[in-house]
Amino acid sequence: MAAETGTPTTLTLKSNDDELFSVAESAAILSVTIRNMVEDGCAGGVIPLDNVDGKTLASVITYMNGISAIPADEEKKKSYRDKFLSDKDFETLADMVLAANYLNMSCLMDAVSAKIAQVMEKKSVGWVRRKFGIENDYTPEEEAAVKEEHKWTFEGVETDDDN
Amino acid sequence: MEKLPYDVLEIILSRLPSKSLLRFKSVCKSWNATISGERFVGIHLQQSRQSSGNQDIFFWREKRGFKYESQVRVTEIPQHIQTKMRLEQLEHEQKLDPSVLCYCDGLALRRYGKLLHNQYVLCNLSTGTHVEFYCPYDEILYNSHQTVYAICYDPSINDYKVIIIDYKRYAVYYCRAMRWSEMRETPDEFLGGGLLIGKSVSLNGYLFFILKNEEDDCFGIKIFGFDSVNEKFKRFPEPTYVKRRGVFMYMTCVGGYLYLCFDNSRCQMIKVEGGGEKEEELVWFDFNGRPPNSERVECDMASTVQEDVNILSFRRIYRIKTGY
Repeated sequence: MAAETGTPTTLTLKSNDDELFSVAESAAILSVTIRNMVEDGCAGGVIPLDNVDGKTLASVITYMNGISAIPADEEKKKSYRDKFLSDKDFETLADMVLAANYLNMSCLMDAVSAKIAQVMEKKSVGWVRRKFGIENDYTPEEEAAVKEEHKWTFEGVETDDDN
Repeated sequence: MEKLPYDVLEIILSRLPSKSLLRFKSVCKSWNATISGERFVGIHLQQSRQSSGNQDIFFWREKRGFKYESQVRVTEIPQHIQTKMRLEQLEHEQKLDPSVLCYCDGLALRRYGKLLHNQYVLCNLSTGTHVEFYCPYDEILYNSHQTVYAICYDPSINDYKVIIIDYKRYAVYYCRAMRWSEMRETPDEFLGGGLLIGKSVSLNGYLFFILKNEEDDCFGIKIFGFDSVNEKFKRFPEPTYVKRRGVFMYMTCVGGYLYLCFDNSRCQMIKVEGGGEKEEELVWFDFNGRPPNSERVECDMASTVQEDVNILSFRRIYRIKTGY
C-alpha cells in the first residue's frame, strides 16, 4: 500500500460542480469505482465524479478518512458510522445513498440505506410521497381500497413534521 | 429531490419492517407493484433474516394445559417493542381451532375444528391473508401430541414446505406447487410409543423437533432435525440436562443456535447454523435464563399469570406476498 512507503499517494477528485478535493488514495479506494480507475491507470490527473456534487463529495470524503483511520474493529467502525449519520437530514441522506451507489461503496451504502429506512419507518404515506417526489397515481377509490386492506399498518404513524 | 434509481430504492425498502411496507403500498402504483413483487419479497426475506433489528414481532402464548395447547394472542406490549399484528379478525371469521400447529417466518399453520382435522390453513401473520389446503393422507395421525407439524423454507426451490410427521409416516406439502409428496416411512427410532412434544422450530431450511420416551420414571428426550432440502431426518445428541418433572419445554432458534428451554430460567443450546455441522461439534451448552429475543411478557390480566404460562415474543420475519 502506498500509505506505508512514507509518501502517501494523494488523489484529486472533482465534483460535478467543479470543486476539487484531495484525498489519500488509501482512503479513496474504499470506493470500488475509484479503485478501478486507479488500477486502470486513469487516476493520473483529476478524477471527475460526474454524479456527485461538492457538498456530498465533501461529506463522503470525511467518511472515507474517518472510517479508514479506524483499525479492523467492526464495533468501532459501526459506531463511527452511526455517529457520522446521526445528524444528517433526509435530503443529505438521499444524496449520500446516490453517491455511495455511484461510487460503489458497499459499507456506506448499507449504513445509509439502513438509516433512511429507520427515518421512514413510522412516517406517513404523504411524507414519503413528498420526500421521494412521488406523484400519487391512484384514484381516490383505489387508494382507499389499498389502505383498507392493511388498515392496521396505519396505527402509530408519526404526525408529519416534514423534517 | 432527484428520483432514486430503482435498485437503490429496492435496497432501502428491503430494510423496512413489514408494517411500514404494507402501509407504503399506498404511496403509488409502482411502489405497490414493487413491494408485492416476487423478487422483492425474496430480497426482503433475505435481508430480514440477516438483520437483528427492525423485524416484526409476534406474540405467542404457550400454555400448559390438558394438551399442549397454544394460542397466538396480542397482549400487552413492552415499551421497547413497537410492532404488533392482528389476528383477532381472522379468528372470528374463520372459526379456526385456536391452536397454532407450527410457525416459521411469520407464517402460522392452523386448522379447523376436530371434524375437519385434515383441512389446514396457512396464515400470513403480517398481511392477515391465508391459504387453505387439504391433506389426503388419513393414515397420518393428527392429535397434537402424536404428530409434529412444521413449516420450513427450502432455499433451493424458494418455497415453503409443510411437513406432517407421526411415529410411522410423514408427508411433505409444497406450498407454491400446491401438492403433497407421497407418504413416506419415518426412521425406526420413532417407533416405541414416543411422544412428540411441543412445536417444531425451523432455521434456514432445517427443522427441529422433540421426541420423548418414558424411561425409568424420567423423561428421555431425543432431538431430531429434518433437512428440508434433502428431506432427510437427522438425530441430534441428547441434551445433558434431564428434566424429571413435567414435559413442558419449548425450542427456539436464534443466531444459529437451537435453544431447548426446560422452564423459564433453564435452557441448553446447541449450534445448528447451516445444519451440516460435524458430529464432534454438536455439543449442548448450558444457558441461564431465556434465549435472546424471547421474553416473558406479563399477561395484562394479572389473575391469569401462572408459572406455566409463557409468552414468547419473537422477532421474526414475514411474507408480504398474499397467498402465503
